[in-house]
Amino acid sequence: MKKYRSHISLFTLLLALCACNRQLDLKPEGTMVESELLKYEQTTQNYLADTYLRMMDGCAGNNYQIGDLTGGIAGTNDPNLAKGTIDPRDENYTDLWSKPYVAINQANVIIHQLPVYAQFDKSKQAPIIAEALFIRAYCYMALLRLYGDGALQGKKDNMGVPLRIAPFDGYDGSQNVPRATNGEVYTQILKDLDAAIADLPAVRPDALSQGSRATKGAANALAARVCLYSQQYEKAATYAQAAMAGNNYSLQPNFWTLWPDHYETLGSYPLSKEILFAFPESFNKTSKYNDNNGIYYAYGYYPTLPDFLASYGDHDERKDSIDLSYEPLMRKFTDQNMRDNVVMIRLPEVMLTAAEALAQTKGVNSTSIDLLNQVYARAYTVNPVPHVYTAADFATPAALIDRILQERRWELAFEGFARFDAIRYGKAPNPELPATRYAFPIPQHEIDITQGLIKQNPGY
Amino acid sequence: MVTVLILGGITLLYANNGYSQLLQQVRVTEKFENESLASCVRKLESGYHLSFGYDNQELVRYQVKKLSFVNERLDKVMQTLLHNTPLHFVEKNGVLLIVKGVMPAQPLQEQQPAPGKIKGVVTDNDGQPVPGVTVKVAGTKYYAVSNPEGAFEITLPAGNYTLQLSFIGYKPVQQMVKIVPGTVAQQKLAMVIEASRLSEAVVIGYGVQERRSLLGSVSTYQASKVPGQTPVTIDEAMVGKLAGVFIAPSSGVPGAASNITIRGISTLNANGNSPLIVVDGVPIYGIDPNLNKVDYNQGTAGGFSYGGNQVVNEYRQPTTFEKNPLATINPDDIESIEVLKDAYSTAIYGSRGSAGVILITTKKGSRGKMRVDVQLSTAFSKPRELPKVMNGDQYADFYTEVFRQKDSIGKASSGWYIPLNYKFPKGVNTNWLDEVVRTANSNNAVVSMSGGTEKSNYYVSLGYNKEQSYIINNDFTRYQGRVNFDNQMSKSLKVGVSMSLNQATNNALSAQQVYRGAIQKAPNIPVYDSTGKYNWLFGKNPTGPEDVSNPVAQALSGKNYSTDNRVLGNVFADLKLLPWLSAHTDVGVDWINSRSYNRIIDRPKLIGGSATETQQQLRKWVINNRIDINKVVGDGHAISAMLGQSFETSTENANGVYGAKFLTDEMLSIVTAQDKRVLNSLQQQWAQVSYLSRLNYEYKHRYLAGVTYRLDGSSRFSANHRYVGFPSFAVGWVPSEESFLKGVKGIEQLKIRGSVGFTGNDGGNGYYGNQGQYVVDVYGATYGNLGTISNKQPANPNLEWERTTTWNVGADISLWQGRVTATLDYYRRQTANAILQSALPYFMGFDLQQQNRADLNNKGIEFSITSENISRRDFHWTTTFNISGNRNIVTRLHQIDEEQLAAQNETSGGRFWRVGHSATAFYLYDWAGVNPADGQPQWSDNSGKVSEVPIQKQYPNAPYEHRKYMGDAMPVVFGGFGNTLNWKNFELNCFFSFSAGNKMYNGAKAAMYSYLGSSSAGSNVYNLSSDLLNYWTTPGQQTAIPALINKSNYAQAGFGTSYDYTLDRKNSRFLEDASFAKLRSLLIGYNFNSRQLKNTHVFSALKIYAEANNVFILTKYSGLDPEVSAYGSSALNMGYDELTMPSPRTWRIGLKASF
Repeated sequence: MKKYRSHISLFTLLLALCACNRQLDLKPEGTMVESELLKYEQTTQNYLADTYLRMMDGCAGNNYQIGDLTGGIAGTNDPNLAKGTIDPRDENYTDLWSKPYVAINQANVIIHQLPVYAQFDKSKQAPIIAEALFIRAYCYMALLRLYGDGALQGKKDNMGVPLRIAPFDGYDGSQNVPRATNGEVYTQILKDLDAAIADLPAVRPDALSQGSRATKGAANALAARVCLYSQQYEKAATYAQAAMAGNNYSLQPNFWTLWPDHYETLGSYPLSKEILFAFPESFNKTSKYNDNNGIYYAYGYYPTLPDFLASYGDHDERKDSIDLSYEPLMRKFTDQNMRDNVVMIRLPEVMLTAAEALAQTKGVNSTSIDLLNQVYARAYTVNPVPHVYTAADFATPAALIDRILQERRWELAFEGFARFDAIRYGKAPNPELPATRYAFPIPQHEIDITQGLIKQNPGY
Repeated sequence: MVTVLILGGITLLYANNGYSQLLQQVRVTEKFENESLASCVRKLESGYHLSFGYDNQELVRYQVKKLSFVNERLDKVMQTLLHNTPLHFVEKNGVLLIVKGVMPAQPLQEQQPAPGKIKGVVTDNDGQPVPGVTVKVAGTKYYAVSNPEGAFEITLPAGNYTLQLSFIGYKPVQQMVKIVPGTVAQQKLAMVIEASRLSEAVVIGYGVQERRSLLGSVSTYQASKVPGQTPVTIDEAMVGKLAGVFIAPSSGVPGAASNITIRGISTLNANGNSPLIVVDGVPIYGIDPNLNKVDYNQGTAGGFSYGGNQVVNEYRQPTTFEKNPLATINPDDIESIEVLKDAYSTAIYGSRGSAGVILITTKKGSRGKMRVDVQLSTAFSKPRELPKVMNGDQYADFYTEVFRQKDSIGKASSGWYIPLNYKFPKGVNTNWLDEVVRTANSNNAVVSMSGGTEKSNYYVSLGYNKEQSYIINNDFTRYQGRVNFDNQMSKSLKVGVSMSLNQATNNALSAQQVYRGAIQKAPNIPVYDSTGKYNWLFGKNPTGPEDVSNPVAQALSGKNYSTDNRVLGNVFADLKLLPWLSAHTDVGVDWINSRSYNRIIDRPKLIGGSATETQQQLRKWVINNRIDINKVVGDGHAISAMLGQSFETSTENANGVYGAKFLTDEMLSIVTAQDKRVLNSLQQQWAQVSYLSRLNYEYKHRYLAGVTYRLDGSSRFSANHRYVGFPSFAVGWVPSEESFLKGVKGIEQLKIRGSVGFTGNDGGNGYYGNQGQYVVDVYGATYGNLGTISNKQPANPNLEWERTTTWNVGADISLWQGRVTATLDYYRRQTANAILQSALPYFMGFDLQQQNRADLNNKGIEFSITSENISRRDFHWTTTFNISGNRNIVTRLHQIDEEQLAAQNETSGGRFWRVGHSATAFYLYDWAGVNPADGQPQWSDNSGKVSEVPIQKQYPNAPYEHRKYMGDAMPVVFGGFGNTLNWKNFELNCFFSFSAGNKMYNGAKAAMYSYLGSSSAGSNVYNLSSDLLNYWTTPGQQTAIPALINKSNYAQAGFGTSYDYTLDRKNSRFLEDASFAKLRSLLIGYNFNSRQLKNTHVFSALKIYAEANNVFILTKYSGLDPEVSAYGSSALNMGYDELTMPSPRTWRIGLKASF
């Protein structure tokens, strides 16, 4: 037996050598897990960049266009969209719902996990979180105005959208939540924006990041829009004025500098001082050469409606911008690759928001009229402006508001507002859309998978 | 009592030490009265299941008066019985030999003058003397029996004689000897153990077991016992030979992966249905498209086209090649292949066992003189058939007509329409298939040397294969070497090595592409243009496909190959600690290093050409340690147990670079490209720690029971679910050992067995499966000027292991000394919580995630029989037959929206899965033929209503509901049938494989029927099947081809997008019955006999043969071969023929010689 002893000990040694559990804790080389991702500032910034890209995916494509396609600005060849006859099962429309949530989830990861894992200066974490809050707020705004039942008509207690503010950590059904009320979603959005405004920089070092990443101005402007949507006019005016405060933003001299024609020559619309927030021309998504930023207005995919064109004054230069005489193309978004900077918040919107909010709270007032005049006048740089408004032009606040809304339609055409502005005042965005279909249907998928916890909008 | 020995993990049954206990442990209670000694021995033989070796004539001479024993040790009994005789006994290899002390040579009759003498020693392959062997001198009356030292001597007249040695349990030996007067010829003779079928060792997981005691369901394939077929990869030869093992060679390209499915689909994961392959104890890098796929065209993003007719081109020939992992293993080195099927066999492989396990055991040397085996063969192969396509003139007329019709419709519908007025020129008829198809020649040479000395055994082999594809300039070359060596270091310690080095270069990666290209290229274009350059585009045709192709140029120019270098093997040590206790350790590796290089030369739209180079390194280490216990306790209780531990780790690297714009076509290095980028640079790892155990118990060979348990911990699973145990249980009963059957003549063994156990599947969730992962975008996506890191997969802390429960009952029967053996098995397999991409609520931020969602059921029956129908001196006839059937049913699927998710799964390249149907079912829109009245395609919805409007247009919101179950890609039954006839020196073997009840989607036809395909840059005016010439033109015409422009493809034909509903893979138009019977191999051989070889003084055996493979196919399938699979090894996507190259018909001549 003695002679085997060495063999046995060798054998036992081999057994012991191999039984290390530690050897099972392997980490991938080419990929990161969450704790590594958010450990460093650089990788966090990269993830934030991707979150912006997801936001672009969710907010710059169809979600952006629907405002015009169903709002009497442009025609669509999709009758379901115009008439509101979308089947909740139709998968063609699920992206409108699902894509903003992708960005929301990524923002949730940053908001919640960055404080847990970050190993860099706290003062550098706060602005990153603020940007994530801005993204989350924007996406919820985009969702709510499409899906919230009466969200634009002050129905605070009606169903809004499911509110997810925790990051994804597996799914087993217990994460299902019912739709929060419109009021709750609005409250969350404004809470996010208030927090963001506190930590965001007012200016960024270069035009690209100034235009394409959240700033105090952009967050204030978004908050103003949200307040306008939720009919909190006083707050709307305050946020809008906060956005305009300082010397950070100004109107471009004319429309051609704002939307230079680059149908023939590839280029980008400048991220000028008029822009509060835009999606930059990005090398989007993954690989392919033909990725675009999701704007299909070019190439005459969607013809401008003749009635809308006719509503412009004769020498309104904005008319040119959407109806080039020499080509049936629109100058906003003429890039041949359909890849360009996509303007999401522009100073005139903020100005008209302030004007409208003040008119709502203070009635006919000079600040509102002044703002209206500034926007209107900029459309006439060659020919004289047809009219300079004074308080005498408006018998009632409603008349002023109507005029401001008309200006919004002209100024912000093809920037995704028309539908929502109409609904806010109880008007049909287009004659074919019945009032019961102002809110989009929640994808049936959500109702099925939550076994009815998520409820469909009434009317579907 | 013969104990089961589990030793060494290799097929060596140790004898000496193990069996001495036999004499002490078998207890005899028996009475002998007035009978011959021979009769006593026979009683012991049958009553105690002992094997004796003796000379019956000798033993009948002695009478036993009266003896009785009660619970007496066998050795005492033997001593008593042999007392007072000149005989004594000795135990050898479990056989008790009764021999005379010294046996002087004795002639049976009168003594003749004896001028010469022969003295010899008989040894076994371990060099140990074998006593009791009868040594006969052929054709004379002289014989001798070897003594306990194995020695014998015979006195003979001068001359040449043949000695014949025979002994129970050994192969008979013949040896020539020359007797010279007055001298003593010395002979050393080695005998090799010949296991009977029942006592032969069957390799099982971490051990070996005697077939008679086998409790699990194991199929064995031994190439040496099945003549015919000399394949490049062993799986080709196994097709149809093993019950329950479905093997479909995916294509006729040499070195392409096969689909191997054991007992049906057990999971819905892409890679989860491939069996684990273990070579000499090393679980190798097996069938796994993630590791074996060469993507040779990553640089040119061919997939994009907008607008266009994508549906017609729904199948896109991928620019990938899936390599067969068995192509780097020399089939001639393989001794046997065991396929483990039921849970009792596979549960010992735990988390990797649920798709079955294939154990490959390589050849070992055996004691004795060096033996050299040489095999040479050469083969010619050609496709059995080629697709029938239009010639140049037919093509030109056809497309001229198509565009004329488009124009007339266009003009009628809109005043703005500008007619194309396309005229396709006639006069040139290029047969592209003839240009690229050749008669391929293959050569194969293998040399092996094997033998052994007293302490060591060796097997060394060298091989060379060159296999041409039937596509020009595409071939597969392999060099291989193997060393298997073991050495008895001391009485208790044996060490050895089993190692192979291989290099395989596959230059046929693009054969499939060339083949497809040759079918589709316009035939009215010559191969070369007027300047002698390749015609890459569409020549004088008014339009042509966007893709640039010239099959001849693709085959002849550029490069596309992959070279794999593989080191596979292990070193091992066996330690015999006690007679009943041994330990075994092995350390194994599987290292694969491959380089793939693809070069497309300068051509239109790709100025300067492009190249892709990928280097892949796979390195695996495996360490197995185990202790084996074999003990007989008390009266007839035998226990064999194994306790072990295993650690396995794998590191995988891949680097890929892409370059474009080379200065010249001769510059190959990607460094010389003007545009280059890194495609891939990655290392991934995984590791697994396992603990294993097995306990087998048997009582008097009559009652068997066993239990196994494996605990697996894998790095692929989260720490919470890291370790999982996999138990299994089995029981067996051998009625033939019971008294009521014992006496029945003819029944050698009848065994009934049952087992249940659990196995798992770790392939589903990939590397680091449960962790949320973030990746840097390889294409450099940016936001503004910031690079991005994006979500690769969401965290999945809830993911659990899949679990497969298998129930198996089976019976083995062996009749007439093994002349007929048959096995019948019935099984049920239930997979619970199969991992499946399933839906999440969108508001979670992800829409799909792998979840434990699906349940599947398989049940099936397998039967196999081998029968030696005739066994005469000059004539042998053996028949083998097996048949299996498996029914698969998906019993649970997605939580919601089954049909919509099924459609989604289909869109992403999977099948349309439905609860209640097989995972390989075809669930399609019902094509109702062409209406002879108006030539319109007709469709039948789920209520049976026939309409000329495609279902998808009739029911745009929920078309899926109108799909129908149209059959299954998996056969109802499949199997093989073979016959071997030996008449004198001739040998004839034929083998059929068959399958019945399976459907095949003839996508080849769909591709050759596609004439409206277009993209933004042109019309895909591909060449077409000549069937299309019979398109509908006149009312009343009965034809399967509808009017050229019809309601199912007209939609916007020619004006932007057009969608041909008749050609997508979602309808039943091209679904066909693919039942078949195939004559896989037919072989005629001639074995030279010893007399013929005597004069050569060189060969000890020589065989020449001629063989034909894939001789004919009996099938109703209208394509070329019902056995192809466009999706390679994927079991889930089987049943699609997409112009997939079929296996060729091969004629081979060869010789096998031994020295």
